Amino acid sequence: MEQISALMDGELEHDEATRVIPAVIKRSDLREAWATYHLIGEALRGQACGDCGVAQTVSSKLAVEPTVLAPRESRSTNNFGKRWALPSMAAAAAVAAVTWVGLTTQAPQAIHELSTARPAVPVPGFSPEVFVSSGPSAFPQSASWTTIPAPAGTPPPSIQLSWQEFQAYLMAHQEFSPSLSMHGVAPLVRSVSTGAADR
Amino acid sequence: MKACLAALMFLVGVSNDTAAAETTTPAEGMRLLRQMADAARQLNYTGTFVYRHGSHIETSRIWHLTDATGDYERVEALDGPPREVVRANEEVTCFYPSVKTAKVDRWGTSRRFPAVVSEQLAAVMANYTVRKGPISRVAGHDCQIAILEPRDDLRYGHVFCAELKSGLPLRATTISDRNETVETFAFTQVEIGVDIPRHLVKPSYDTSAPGWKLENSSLRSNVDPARRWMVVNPPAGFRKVSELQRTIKGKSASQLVFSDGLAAVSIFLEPAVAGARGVQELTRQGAINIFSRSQPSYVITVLGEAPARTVMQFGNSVVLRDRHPKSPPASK
Amino acid sequence: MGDREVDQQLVERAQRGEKAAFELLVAKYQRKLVRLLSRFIRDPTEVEDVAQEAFIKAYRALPSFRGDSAFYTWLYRIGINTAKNYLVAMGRRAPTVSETEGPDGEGSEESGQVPDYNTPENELMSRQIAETVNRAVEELPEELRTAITLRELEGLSYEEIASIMNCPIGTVRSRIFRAREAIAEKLRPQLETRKDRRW
Repeated sequence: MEQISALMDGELEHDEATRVIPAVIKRSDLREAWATYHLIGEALRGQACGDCGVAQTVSSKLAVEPTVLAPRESRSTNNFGKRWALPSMAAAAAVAAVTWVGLTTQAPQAIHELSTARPAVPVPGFSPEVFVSSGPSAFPQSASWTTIPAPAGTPPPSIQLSWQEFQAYLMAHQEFSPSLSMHGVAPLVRSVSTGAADR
Repeated sequence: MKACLAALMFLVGVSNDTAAAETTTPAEGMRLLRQMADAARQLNYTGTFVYRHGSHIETSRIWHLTDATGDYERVEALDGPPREVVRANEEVTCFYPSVKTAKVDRWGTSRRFPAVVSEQLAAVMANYTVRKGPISRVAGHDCQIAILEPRDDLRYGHVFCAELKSGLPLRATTISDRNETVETFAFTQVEIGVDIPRHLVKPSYDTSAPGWKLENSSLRSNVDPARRWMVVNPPAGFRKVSELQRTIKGKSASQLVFSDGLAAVSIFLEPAVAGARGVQELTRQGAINIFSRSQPSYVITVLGEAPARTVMQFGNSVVLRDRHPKSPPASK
Repeated sequence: MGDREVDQQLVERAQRGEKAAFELLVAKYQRKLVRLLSRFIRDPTEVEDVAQEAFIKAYRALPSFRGDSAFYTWLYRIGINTAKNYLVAMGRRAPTVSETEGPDGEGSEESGQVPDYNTPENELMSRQIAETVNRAVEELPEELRTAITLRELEGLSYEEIASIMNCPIGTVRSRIFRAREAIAEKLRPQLETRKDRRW
């Protein structure tokens, strides 16, 4: 039981976990402990919907489901490598070309670093599709400063991070950045990155 | 056109580096990372490096000195208006001579003690797969490629090239889940293990001279128990490493810091300015994403060297802990 | 073994035909999924139905799950799609969440406000469970209470808790387990009275 408690906290050594998991699957008393311990955690965080009734129903429905069998596939060495595929030569070349065009021509439209992020949940007055840099006129010195304004026709957002604010937050944050201990002070240069001194 | 090709070759080179990589044992990966962390902390070195994010490039010069009295660094920007960062142990000062302003930040505890590094490395190993690549060359030095591949899309990938003998990282590249280079730090020239005269890690500017403004960006105090914030659904692999109260932009703010061992995300919580509307904004510089969200009474700002989806998840899952009967008992 | 890897192991075992492995995942994530769905669907009974359907869909789709993302991320997408289809079928407005999104925070838009995801019957049980759990926590010896609180509320690792409590990691592991077991003991009679609808 103590091992289940450690297992659900992600704190069991790999070998021990590999031994414990089959036992939890097989033994009903251990499954019960697993479920109860999870319920306790959520109750403590004020998140329990006492008896959602979901698991019980799912369980009885599962009993009549045909058993699924996935094709066996070796995933011991590289579980997650597929998604984070290595760049093909062509893709790398394309990135290089774009980067270089941006650098040499200083074409205003080429020097915006476009964020590809999508907001998790769209909010009123905010369209995830609008990813427009605020442009060189707003930040002449800061080619890569990308802001995502609200779409035209809606009131402008009242949060507008200025360079000074960004710098203040970044400085307060830097201390905790573990990458500092990995590659020295160099990342500190972010906090005095171009543009910062001009405003 | 020639320049075009050169840039192209450089990146193709990177891609070859990563393609030949093999998964290392966790112990070997850990050793590689530890060697880099130790080298960056313990060695004396000086050199010129470029910081590139998007199509933006900045060149800086760095001096690093470690002796019996501690750890000193100075970074001087070589492009654009003069700027300088000086760190003397836990005190970091940024100098902006064009506006005669210096900003001082005093770090709470050293995040760079070996014990802390060990703890970080264990977390790194849990969230990234470490692979050893081939030998490459940066700034005239042979170096070992090490690839940190994230186990999910909540963090960036990293490719380091660590100098063969000392382990000092000579190039660090951050890569998005779309295989785009988010930012790069790379030495173009470096001398490792040389004597660094002490005056070279001292500030070039005298802030006591007339006209200079000295801003203290961080005056920390204990966390206000009446304002306890909680992240109900932090992105997987991130653990809270710190919680503090600090002065930022002249106002008091709560700061929660989460880390996955390599990336850190700070959540700043400040009382809302009157009349603010509920809006969101996402901004980035290189690997740093910043997400701001305004609520009726608070402004939440999340900043970290993590993908936008990660900082947004933090921003959307921070709640004020109340003492509602259904909520958890007060923690000790 | 980290949390995500534990999930991955459970998924792989379910893919090899062990249904009970999938049930452990259901026990772990049912409440989280219900909380997510209750952001789009008002009626708690409907939320439960959609959650059950999502789990069954996930089970049928297991062969296609390749560990490219975390299990919950994948389940989240299935949950959102199921909710969308349900709302469209009912002639209501579908949630405006992109399927390509990862799971975002559970915090609703206003701080501290959690949508009501309980049926009246569940609401009562939920409150009883919360009461039992909170009372049980208060009755714990100091060191057990601190350990479980740091783990479940602050999300700290055993190593972090060990450094705060100034004790070996093994002690942390045992304290957290003993705390959970003590709480579970108080909770079990209450759960057992529900016999058929336990999890």
